[in-house]
Amino acid sequence: MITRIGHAVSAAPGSPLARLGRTAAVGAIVAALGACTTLPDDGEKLASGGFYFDVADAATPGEPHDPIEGVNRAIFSFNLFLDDILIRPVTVVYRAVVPDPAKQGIHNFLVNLDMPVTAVNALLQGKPERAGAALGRFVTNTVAGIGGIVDVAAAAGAEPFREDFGQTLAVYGAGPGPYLVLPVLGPSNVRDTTGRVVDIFLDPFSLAAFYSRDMRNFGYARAVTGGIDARHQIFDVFDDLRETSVDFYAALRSLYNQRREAEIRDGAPVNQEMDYFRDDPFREMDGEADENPTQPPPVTTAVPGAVKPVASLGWRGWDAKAPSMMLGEYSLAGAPSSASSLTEAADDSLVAVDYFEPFYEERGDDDLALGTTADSSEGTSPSPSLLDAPERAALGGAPAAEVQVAGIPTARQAYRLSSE
Amino acid sequence: MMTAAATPARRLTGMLGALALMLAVAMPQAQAASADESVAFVREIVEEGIPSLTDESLPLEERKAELRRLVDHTFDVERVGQLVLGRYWRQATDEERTRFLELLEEYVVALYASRFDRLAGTDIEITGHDEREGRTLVRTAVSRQGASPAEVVWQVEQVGDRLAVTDLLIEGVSLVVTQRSEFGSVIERGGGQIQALLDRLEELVERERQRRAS
Repeated sequence: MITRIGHAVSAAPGSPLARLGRTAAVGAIVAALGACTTLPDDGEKLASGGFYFDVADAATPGEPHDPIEGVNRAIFSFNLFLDDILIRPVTVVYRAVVPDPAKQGIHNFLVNLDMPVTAVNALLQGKPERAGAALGRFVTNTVAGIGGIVDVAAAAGAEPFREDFGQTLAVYGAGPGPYLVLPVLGPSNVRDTTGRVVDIFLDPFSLAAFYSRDMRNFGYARAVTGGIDARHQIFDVFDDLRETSVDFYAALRSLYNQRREAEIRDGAPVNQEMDYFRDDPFREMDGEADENPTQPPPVTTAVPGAVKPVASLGWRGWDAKAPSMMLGEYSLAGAPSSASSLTEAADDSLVAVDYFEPFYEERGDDDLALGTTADSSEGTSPSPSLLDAPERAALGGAPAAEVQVAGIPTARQAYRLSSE
Repeated sequence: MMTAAATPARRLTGMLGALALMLAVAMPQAQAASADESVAFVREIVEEGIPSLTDESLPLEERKAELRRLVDHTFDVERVGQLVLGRYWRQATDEERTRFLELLEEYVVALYASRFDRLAGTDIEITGHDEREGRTLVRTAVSRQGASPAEVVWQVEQVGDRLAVTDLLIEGVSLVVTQRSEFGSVIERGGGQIQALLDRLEELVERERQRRAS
């Protein structure tokens, strides 16, 4: 269950959700202190002391972090142009010429080729049973399904699935990072682009291309056929969406992000409380609104035994000081197996998580001013800060919980925020 | 044809809808519907509503009328409008809200009117449900011949005194989240003006109308 911090920021201020989000957002900011020099041109911006933080970042399904939107849109236009003049026409011919069973066979064959790299990634994600299933599929279909052309496994009830290194990185706690549109290949992000490159080295078939000319040609054929098959698979949907969407670029960006989130969860249901209703105006009007800053949201002590994973930190941008962060955000993916991540108390208050204590220390007491810009960009929010004053006062500086990602103590500690 | 969206009756509905909305906004949310009712609601849609849309034996006009009936019955434009406009709903003036809801309904009907044939040959089966804070998520498996089934989750809420579908999640992709992202993008690119979105919606609705006319 991966739920992100950033997006919760724009929850109706004052709702428990918003409180959760705001508290969490402060955690993200604190963690990002000094680490982020990203200057997003949209989304909520938090600025303080020359640093900019994008809180409505990255990880929000459908509200992606897209700091280079201009460049992305240009590449996107190019891709559409390429689609118009080449990819779509070729696909139209493919659809017309190749009989349906053959198209299905080609699709099955391509999916089957992905099974080994899926198995490797499942293993890397610590999911041996999934790795076994992928391998089992591969062997079954390759042997009994004539090299993978017939999907025997699916007929037996084992549906195909895919694990790639982008997902593996996500399971390790990396967030998506900035959204990217790759030339020809289309929607991606920093994490998934990295994953694509790594997958070349994890996939036995593409690895073999380094050693054999035949395999190299096979690799090209696979790439081209894969492209046409992919375009064929989404043919109607793509055309419909292009025609009817209000903003096709934004639609694809949102779809891509949501789809990847779903894949990372292996299809498990999303925890909608965090992200989905954050912008629900009804919630604000329900009477639990934020006109009431004098009443502090209850703050409870974290009880390590009673924690449940609720949130992850967002992308915190490019950091010269910590190049190792370039892969993307360091998120607190509350994978189902993880014992704890952020602590959500019964009253929805949340402890913030600090991965990078030194940055936090560096920032000193400026952190609480960070909320201002974000909230005022909401236009109507009366709340001057991410945290209400009493909420601030109530927060201490003590470490609250050990943080684990997928059972591995990845992050250091969850901290209560300090007003000092 | 489906130009009913622009008739005075339709506009009146829009106005009434907006009025109902203002009343709804002033009141705390109604109590949640029971999960069973929500499941039954979705069952009615998938077992009666959708099959009648794709029934080849019915004349096209009748099927289109059926579509409008189904949209009116299942879709709460006010509620969905708020969800998809998100934080911009709060910034919108009353006129903008009214106009937005009108356009949204026209947009949705126009969108589906020309495409419901795509539903032909699909088989929808209810597989379970979850309850979430007064909302019920009804899970269905939508299968087409030859393809592996897709999971479609229907979010059902009590809106006012009735049940309504307020989102569809297709394989983990929420229509509301997608739409909100699109709408937000158009507004932002239009300098934060909701009018930018209204113009764009008008353009699309008009284009659909002409497409159907030709």
